[in-house]
Amino acid sequence: MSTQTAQSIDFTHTYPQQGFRLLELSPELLELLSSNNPPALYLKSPSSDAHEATSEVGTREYVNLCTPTKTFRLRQVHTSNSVHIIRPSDGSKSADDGTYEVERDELNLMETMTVIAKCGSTLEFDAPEEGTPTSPFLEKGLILYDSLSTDADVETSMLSANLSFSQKRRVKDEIFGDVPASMFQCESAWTELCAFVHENSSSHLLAGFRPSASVKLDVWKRTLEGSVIRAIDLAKQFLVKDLWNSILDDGEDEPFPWDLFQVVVRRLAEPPGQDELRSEIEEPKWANIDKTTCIRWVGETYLEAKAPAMTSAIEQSQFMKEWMDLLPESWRDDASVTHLTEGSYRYQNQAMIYFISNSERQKERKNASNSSSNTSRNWHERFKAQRKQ
Amino acid sequence: MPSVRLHPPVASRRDAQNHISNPLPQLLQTPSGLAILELQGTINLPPLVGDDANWTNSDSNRDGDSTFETPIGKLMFPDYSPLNPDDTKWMKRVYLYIGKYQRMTGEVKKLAKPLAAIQRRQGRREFGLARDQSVQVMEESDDRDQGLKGESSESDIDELDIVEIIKFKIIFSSRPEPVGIE
Repeated sequence: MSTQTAQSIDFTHTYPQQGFRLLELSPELLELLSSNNPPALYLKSPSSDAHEATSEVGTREYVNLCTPTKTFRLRQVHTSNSVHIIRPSDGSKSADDGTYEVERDELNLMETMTVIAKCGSTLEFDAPEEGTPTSPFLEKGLILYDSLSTDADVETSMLSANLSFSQKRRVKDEIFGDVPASMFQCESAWTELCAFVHENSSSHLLAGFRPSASVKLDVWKRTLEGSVIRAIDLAKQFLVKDLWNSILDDGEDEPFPWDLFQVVVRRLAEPPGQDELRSEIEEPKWANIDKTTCIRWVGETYLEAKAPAMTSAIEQSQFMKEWMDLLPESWRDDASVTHLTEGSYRYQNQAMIYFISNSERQKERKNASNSSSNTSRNWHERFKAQRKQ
Repeated sequence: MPSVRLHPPVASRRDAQNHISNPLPQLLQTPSGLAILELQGTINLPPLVGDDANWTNSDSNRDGDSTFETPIGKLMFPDYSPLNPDDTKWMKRVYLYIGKYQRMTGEVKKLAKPLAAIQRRQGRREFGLARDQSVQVMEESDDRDQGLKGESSESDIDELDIVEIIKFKIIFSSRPEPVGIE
């Protein structure tokens, strides 16, 4: 055969080999990475003890790839072929020396491609992780805050208002590190849980807390009372500090940390624009409470606090009355069970109602989907069960 | 487990690698020079120890560790002409000679999904930009707390770079065939 027209490239193997991983890119991810200012991505896996927290049975270790807003489950796919990474080499020197002054003449010198790595597997995407909620992982990193400062065991120091933004950020980042979800999802779950950073009274270190339903309810009660006293219309824009001051009116110590108050306001506020990461508007000066969100949240929080299980079910008429009383005057008549999140409540007998927690709802949904998973179109999933046998 | 930062490809860093001219057809060239070659089976290399004559090049002056290349054979794109890069017929035929007497025939394929080549973030010497970025990380942490500073410089270990996005591969899926002496 003729080598006159065909260029012949020397092919070599470089020792030592380098470590490379190949990651298959979805069109969406490719676009993200090819953009002018591509964001950093994160590979996150849950902390080892988080499996219990999510009550996901049979999940093994896994890695999620997180863009700023989305999460994808990765899986490692082994190839029977040898996949090599090759790159040009000048064939006479160590390959990455980087100090070539000589202008190379392509015609005279034999050129070389050299194998620098072999990849036995490729990382591929599973479907985007939308089913798994972020909050159970986040909860794991938070301490339950279940009584206000008036109670003896949780002592609120007056420090709360003085925490700097970066101090809080650091605590949050540390907690988010163990949550296998994107920053946006972490922030959303943080607000969803009304989590806040506060000094841990026992260790005097900063930590993340999540208030119990009854604490949240108390915060809301005080907030509502404050707004009435100061005639602040929660539906219209108000200064968050004004509302806070209305709670402090009676000259007492802070009944609860400022950060807790703030996150509850944020939880109930008109949602920000879709594109904005919530962190960037973490401490809004102004806010207005979103009617629909507020009505639902107050109802569910009340139910969770007072009737968390079937055994503690309460009468619906009583629930409705209390719920209305916890709403701003003009919204009273809008309280209706249809405003509660689907599946968040259940009736016992006809007139008794109780709360179904998010994790229970999740479990039920999972069971429901498991029974239909035999029809899954994903072949890997279908064969997984057989392989294990 | 903590999260690992995966840095997107950086254009300037990739250009910096471009000292060596790339002998591959234009289509297979990437800014960093990296390409993917897939074959059925494995390449058997001579054992490491022993005869120095096996190694054509050994450059041992690099921080004490030596990098050397073992010749395997030759790679050829018989139908490729640099004068006519738009014609893609050449992609159908690639030869890989293993030694002198064995040849594999393969082809160039576009990957259904592009692959990102990921590497653990290198130390200072490899990429100029790696240093700049780690400085940035340090600065961010400066206003946080002193205690974290030490951590962030150490956490460089847990940072990965997407060094290249590769869209084509050279694949040899058939067995090698014997060929005569050139």
